[in-house]
Amino acid sequence: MDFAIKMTDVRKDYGTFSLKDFSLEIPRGYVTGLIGSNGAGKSTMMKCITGAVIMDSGNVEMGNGMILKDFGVVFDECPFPQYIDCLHLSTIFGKMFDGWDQRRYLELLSKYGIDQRKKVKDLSRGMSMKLQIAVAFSHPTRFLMLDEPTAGMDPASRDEFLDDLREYMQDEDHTILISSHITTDLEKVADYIVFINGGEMMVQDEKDRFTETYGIVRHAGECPLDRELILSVRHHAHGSDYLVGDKAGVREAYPELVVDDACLEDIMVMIARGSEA
Amino acid sequence: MNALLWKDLYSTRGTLAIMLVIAILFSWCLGNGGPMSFFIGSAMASTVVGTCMNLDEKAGWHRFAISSGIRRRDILNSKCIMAVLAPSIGIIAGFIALGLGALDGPLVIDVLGCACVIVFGLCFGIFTSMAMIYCCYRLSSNYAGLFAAIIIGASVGLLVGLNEALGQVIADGAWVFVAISAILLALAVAFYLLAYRVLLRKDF
Repeated sequence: MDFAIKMTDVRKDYGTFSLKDFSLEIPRGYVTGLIGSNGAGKSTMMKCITGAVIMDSGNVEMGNGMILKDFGVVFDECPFPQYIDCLHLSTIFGKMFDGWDQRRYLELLSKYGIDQRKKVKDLSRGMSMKLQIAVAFSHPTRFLMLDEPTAGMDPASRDEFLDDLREYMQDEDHTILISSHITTDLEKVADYIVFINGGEMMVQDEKDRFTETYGIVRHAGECPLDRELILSVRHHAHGSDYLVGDKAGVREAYPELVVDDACLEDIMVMIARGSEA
Repeated sequence: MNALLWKDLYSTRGTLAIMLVIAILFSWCLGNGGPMSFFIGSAMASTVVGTCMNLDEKAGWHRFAISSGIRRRDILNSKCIMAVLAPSIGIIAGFIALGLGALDGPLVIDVLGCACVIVFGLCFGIFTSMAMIYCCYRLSSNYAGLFAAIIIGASVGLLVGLNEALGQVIADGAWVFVAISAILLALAVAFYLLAYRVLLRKDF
């Protein structure tokens, strides 16, 4: 499989936090979802890809002749000049991006309900995210890198945005890397999931394999499972939840136990809090 | 680079306009309609570069620009153009102040004196702006603002205090101003190189 981005042994040390020998391949033509708790290293990883952060060591390679000019980026905070109105932003981006499509930009502003005359500083968080998305979709890109793009958006807007992503992916040369705490959004659009915790990659797999293989055994009393089968445990007032990585195997070996399907959020939370178990 | 410069000019247009008015008033009042108007105008207008850096830092513009394929050198170069443009606008303010000075009575213009102070004012403005750019990248835009306030305040105070003496210097020989201007320009270049070094290693 072709890769859009390949990170090899990327290391970035901030003192209190570090990305540790991080290696990852983002497959071309697919949507890769990035999950992890706050401070897990998702944004740092993305900044390493674009060069906004200087890596201590390691290498980032772009596949298929891609360059940074082919990127469309959306950050968790709006990076546009605060005192410029949305209409005049188009003049700046027209000079900044080759192939800037002013008509498309204005269409998207209208679609997202953004007042062209409003200054960036006057937009709400949700609106400023939509503005970034409108900019990212208004110039030719092959790789969209979206850091918490749905933060602050209402459910209807999120749904509309996910539709836009699906439309973008109609071109097989297009790739998306998206991080979000709203894992249900990722479940809807992502083909692959990368789970980062404490600056390390915990799991990278096809999204469907996550939901097919991971399961949760809910049980009160003594641990009913072989320790080797358990990935993480969460204790609570009514007993314990055991995250297992081989749902089918557990169901076969322990037919008396109820093994629930695990959603991305369950998996993320239980692995992230595993050490507390 | 066009886009970056356009962005800087557009986002600081309000500050530039206000600064122009203040510079005219200051130049008129402190410069007494004399050649020092150019220096005061230029020094004050150069603070706009600090405003520009501050706005960029708060918005996180550098992260976006770099992630969109803009080279770090181009970002710095666009700031350098601003560092030349802002004091130049200050010089215009000086001309306006000079014109206002003419309203008070007949104005005797010492062409050589004016030319010397214009060159000196421009070089001082460029030097201050480049120092601010370096400070912003090395520390943060908050420190740069403080730095600018100190350097401009001290310089303007010193020069206004030495107004008469400077007039004598101009009369004695323009080469002193040329020499100081050359030193300031050399320092500005040094700050550019330092800023570039810092920028290459800076995380956004």
